[in-house]
Amino acid sequence: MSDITVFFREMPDFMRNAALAGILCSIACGSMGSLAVVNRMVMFAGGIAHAAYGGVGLAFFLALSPFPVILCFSLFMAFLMAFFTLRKQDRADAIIGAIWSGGMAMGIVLLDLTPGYNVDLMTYLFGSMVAVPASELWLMAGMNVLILFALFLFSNQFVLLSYDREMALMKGVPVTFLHFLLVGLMTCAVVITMRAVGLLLVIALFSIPPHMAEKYCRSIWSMMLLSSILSMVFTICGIWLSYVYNISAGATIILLASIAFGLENLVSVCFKNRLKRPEGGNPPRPL
Amino acid sequence: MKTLISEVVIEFRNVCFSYGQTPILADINLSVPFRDFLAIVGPNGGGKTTLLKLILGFLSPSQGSVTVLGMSPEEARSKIGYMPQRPSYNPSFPITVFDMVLSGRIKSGFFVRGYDKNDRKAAEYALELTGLTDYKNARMEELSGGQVQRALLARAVVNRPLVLLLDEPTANIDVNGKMQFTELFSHLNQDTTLIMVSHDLDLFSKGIKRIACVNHTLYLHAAPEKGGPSSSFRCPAKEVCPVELLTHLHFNGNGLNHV
Repeated sequence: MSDITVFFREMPDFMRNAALAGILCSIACGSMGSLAVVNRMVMFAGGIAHAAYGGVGLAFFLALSPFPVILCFSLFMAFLMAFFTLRKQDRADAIIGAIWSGGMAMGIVLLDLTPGYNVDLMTYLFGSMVAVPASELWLMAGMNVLILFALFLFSNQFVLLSYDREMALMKGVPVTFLHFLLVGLMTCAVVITMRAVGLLLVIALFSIPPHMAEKYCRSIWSMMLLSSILSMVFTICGIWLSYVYNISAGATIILLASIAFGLENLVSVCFKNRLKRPEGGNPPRPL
Repeated sequence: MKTLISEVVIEFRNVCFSYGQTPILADINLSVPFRDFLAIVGPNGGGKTTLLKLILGFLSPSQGSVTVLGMSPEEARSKIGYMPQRPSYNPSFPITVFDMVLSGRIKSGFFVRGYDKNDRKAAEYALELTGLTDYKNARMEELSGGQVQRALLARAVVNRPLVLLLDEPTANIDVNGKMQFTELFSHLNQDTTLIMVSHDLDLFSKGIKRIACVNHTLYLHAAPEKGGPSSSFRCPAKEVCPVELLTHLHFNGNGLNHV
């Protein structure tokens, strides 16, 4: 049994890479996950993650390099979903369900039709954090820079878009463009993160830390920061525990996050009344 | 900027509007002068909200024309403050009251600059006007119904609009709050044209200069002469006109007090 400080001092390279992957994923999932949660697009993100498997099948079937094919296929599917959910909000989940399952099924069938070795579905679901090469880390870092830059460039507009879309339309904010940009950034975050940590962990990191952070933050930016930090905590602790007990890293992280989520809900229910301010205030004072 | 404004702020000329085959508004003619305070009343489904949407340019008339500040409604949209009837915001979104009001200062277009000092000062002023300064840093989620209405009003006025459109602004507010809102509207009316859709007949006692009954057509009640309320209000609207109802039922010396 190792002490956690000893663990960090004597960490093997692959573990260090796993930790770095975890940190980089936490930033991407913390920021895009926050936007997904406030825009009620977590199912959308889940849809992209599952449909991306169609891209995996396509890449192997056509004997092309996997990553570009997966990214393009996922972006295509995501923009398709975005197009259908832009107007008809109330049937959005049905459309997402169709693409979610259809995309994944397409991937499975194409892989069945491909002669030779196949991608292990378990790896796809849970990732292989301990097998992350350095090149992958650079890709993730680059994606994080892209996401943060886009968020910075359109910060005020993303806030209004997420908070009050009708008012955004009225104020002349380019809602359609930003909707598709949001979807595009989310797809990049999902697809690139998924390669390292697997589909399930992406969904967990997209939903659990932002949801925990939401009620304690006064701005979407602090929500993103808190989500990222929470993600990192879960990730690092999860990797350590998986190393010590020889269990799957991805699943351990998800379990930790879920337990923390449950505890936090319990605590906040107990202290619910302290969050509401008393009624009243000053009367309006025209000058 | 004020000197460039023509006397007539909003003009409807022979406007008709239909949703597909269903006619909503027919032959609407209306001229709203600067600093008017126009109340729009009428039965549900009679076209009150449609009228507001035509002013905002969200709908186009089937016939006739709508001019706002001498421009098309879409062009004038940035100079109009709007407080919608059913707020469309996301209730659990992490945002402070200040930032929510500040978002009313956002500029249209793709690449917009961030909020500057003037924007922040305007937001502070709007909050002070609506009595929400103490709640500046509170989350929107923490506000009561009445406070939310005040915050939405602050957002509608933060850009110093020339025209303010209010759709049922006092729907969730108690009597005390309503009186405060009425005073606020009178204050705003000093340099802003106000158009208010309201079912609230209590509000008719103060500040309102004209009343338009909209029920597919529009009938305008101009301000009565001082001291003589009921004779001026002979409304030919086929349905029971709420204005007539008010003057006949409530006239016991109080009636309609127009300034």
